[in-house]
Amino acid sequence: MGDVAEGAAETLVDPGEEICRLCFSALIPVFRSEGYPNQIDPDTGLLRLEELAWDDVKTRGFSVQRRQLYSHAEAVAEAQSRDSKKSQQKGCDVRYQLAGVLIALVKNISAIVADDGEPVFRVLATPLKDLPGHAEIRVLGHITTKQFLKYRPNLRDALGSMRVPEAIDA
Amino acid sequence: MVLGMPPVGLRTNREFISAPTEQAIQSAQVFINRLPEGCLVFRMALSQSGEINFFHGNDDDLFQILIDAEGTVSYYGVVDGKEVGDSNLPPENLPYTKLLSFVDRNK
Repeated sequence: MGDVAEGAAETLVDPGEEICRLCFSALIPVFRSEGYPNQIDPDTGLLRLEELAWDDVKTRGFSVQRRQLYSHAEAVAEAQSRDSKKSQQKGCDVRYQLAGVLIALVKNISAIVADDGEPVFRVLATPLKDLPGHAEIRVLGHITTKQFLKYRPNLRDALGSMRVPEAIDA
Repeated sequence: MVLGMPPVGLRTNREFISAPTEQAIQSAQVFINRLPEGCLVFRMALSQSGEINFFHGNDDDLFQILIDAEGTVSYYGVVDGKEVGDSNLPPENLPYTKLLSFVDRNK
């Protein structure tokens, strides 16, 4: 995993496609605040709002996978890779594992529009050498941090409730 | 508590994790110290990128405050039926009275 594939142009993912976002859990806190990486609000089953960071959607890209180009087996392998790295970093077994997956229709993300009627978010295909289905959710260039905060709950809702990891292949 | 942690940045695969910057931590401290007494019940959470989030209210009626890596503050909420919000302010310039109005209304 790593570099963007050479010559790959950024293009919008088709509105009819579905994207998925892996969610993880761990036996002990791995990084950051107490609950991390438990990213789902247990009261709502939805992604915690802080998981949608301004820097991600503005600069780095909020990573997702195009469902049709991804598989449950790849997701499990990704979790195993992270578990190995994080257990090594912490010096103990952190049991970092795949908790579930969020799956959303791209058109539901594009349907979040600002007061001017323009979309707030877009989903770009950003294939990586070993992850051809990699994509990113980003805000459009004119969106301010204040507007992002306004529409962040809408993006969370569009991503929906966490499903079992096997749903990637369903 | 994560405030006070030294900044750490690492990239693993496509996973980026950063602790809050010193500027963000300082702004969060200014923000907390300036909060009116009635606004001290909130949820604080860090983003993977090191942003510091403060949430007042509940999921149906939320006042969000976000402190970015530069230590600037953005906020959004609905107070008395009107949207209030701004981007990239120094923490001293946050309209604390509006936040207090939001909290008071939700009591």
